[in-house]
Amino acid sequence: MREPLISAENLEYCEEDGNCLFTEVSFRLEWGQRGVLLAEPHRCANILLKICATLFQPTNGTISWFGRSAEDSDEKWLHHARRRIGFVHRETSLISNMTILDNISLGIQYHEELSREQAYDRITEVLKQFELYEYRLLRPAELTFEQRRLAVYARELVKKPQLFLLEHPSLDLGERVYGFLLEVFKKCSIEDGCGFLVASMIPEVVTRWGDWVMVFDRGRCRHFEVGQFDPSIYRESMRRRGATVSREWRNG
Amino acid sequence: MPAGHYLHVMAGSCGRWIIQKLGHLGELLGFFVVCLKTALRYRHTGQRLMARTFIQQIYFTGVQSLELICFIALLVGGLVVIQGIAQLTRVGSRDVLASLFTVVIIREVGPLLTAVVVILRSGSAIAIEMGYMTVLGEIESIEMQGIDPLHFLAIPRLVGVTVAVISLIVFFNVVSIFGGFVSAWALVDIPFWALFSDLAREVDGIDIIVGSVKALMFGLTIALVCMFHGFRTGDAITNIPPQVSRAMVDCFILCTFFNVLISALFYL
Repeated sequence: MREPLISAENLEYCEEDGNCLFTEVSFRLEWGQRGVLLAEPHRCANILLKICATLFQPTNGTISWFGRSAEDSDEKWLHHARRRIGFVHRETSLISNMTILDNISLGIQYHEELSREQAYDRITEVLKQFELYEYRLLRPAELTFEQRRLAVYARELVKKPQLFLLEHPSLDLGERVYGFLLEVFKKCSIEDGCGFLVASMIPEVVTRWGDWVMVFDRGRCRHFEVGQFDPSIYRESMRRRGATVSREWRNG
Repeated sequence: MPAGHYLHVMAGSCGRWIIQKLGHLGELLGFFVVCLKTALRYRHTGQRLMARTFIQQIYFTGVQSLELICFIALLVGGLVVIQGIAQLTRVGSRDVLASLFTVVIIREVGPLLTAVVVILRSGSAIAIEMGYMTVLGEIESIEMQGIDPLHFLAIPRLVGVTVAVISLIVFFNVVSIFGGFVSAWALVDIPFWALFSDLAREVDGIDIIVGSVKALMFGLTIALVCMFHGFRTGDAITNIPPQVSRAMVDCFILCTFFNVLISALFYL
């Protein structure tokens, strides 16, 4: 029996001023599983994803990655674990003074001691697949939002991660490109057993991505299997709170 | 109010300032120790990439500053000779010009002015670059590649700036001596080779050791302080200017302090 990709128990995250963004968050993500976090305001999901990406520490609670808990993990192991996690943040965090080629091949250049040329050869296929090959020598600022976003996906896929943490996967992407990405991820899930944790504000994401859904409501979370999830519950909860509901939500 | 009260308040303010500065110095020292530990922990990782970043840093801090350093060194060399001739002629001892050169340029002004140029040119660039990388989430994306940002960003800059500062100080000294000698020859017709042989007699081993120690300390201080403030930018872009300004001031104060401290240790 394989250990879950990620498991969390009673996670709590409070800011320095004592404001707790969420408490008692527990979940397990098994190999090949896809979970969706629905949250408005989105900050809760953003912080939770960063905790799952090993970048932030929870105020309370326990979290394990690939069967190893945070308490047993030193900095070196965490750096190793990060190579097994593909994290696509809502902001396209490409390194602005590097070309797309260097951005995407940075990890393999560093870890596998490859020369630039060897690393470039390794990623040529991915660049062509993501239609970035002709833009490979440009810097991120010279690309469109969609191309930048694609470059981030390409950078993460080159790592061949086992766990994907995706924040707003459809952000800045056209329908065709988004469909292409879904196909790529589906292949990862089926062939390599990759797990996905997706944060969004759009309930339609659940139908395209989720095996289970976790809805944040006033800092607490509720779990649903996909079949049981009714978007109106979430919408109603948001209305009661008078929260600003995203455009897609209002239209939905 | 009695005078004692004001003295009490002043002493309190001075004490608080000293404690605050010592605390800051402690933080910097802690950052340096963490950098050293990181360098040791990942010493066999990413060597090719690190070597490339290191060479780029030397090129940016060292090679690209050569013109500016050359210009300033020539001016300073000429200035020291002009002042030296003006003052020494009055007391009729122009032959101590070489000695003045050793004391002013090689021991004090050369290292400090080179450090100031590096602070203004490269230190600010490093602090701004690190600040932007922190604010824009680029540091996090480096971490998510399984790369320790301290190893990938800090170590090559630390070593690169230090090597560049050492080389630039040597270059500054050579050019300013040349500039001074040319001025002396042009103004009062002192033969170039006479001055050169005087200088060779004046400069001894201790001057070379002191120059090297100062260069090492200045290089480490500039790189360390600028990166430290850059990494502390937080998540707001408005934090970058104050952090860069703090980095510049800290670098200058620390370099001046080390300059005095090292001179006092070796020459008193």
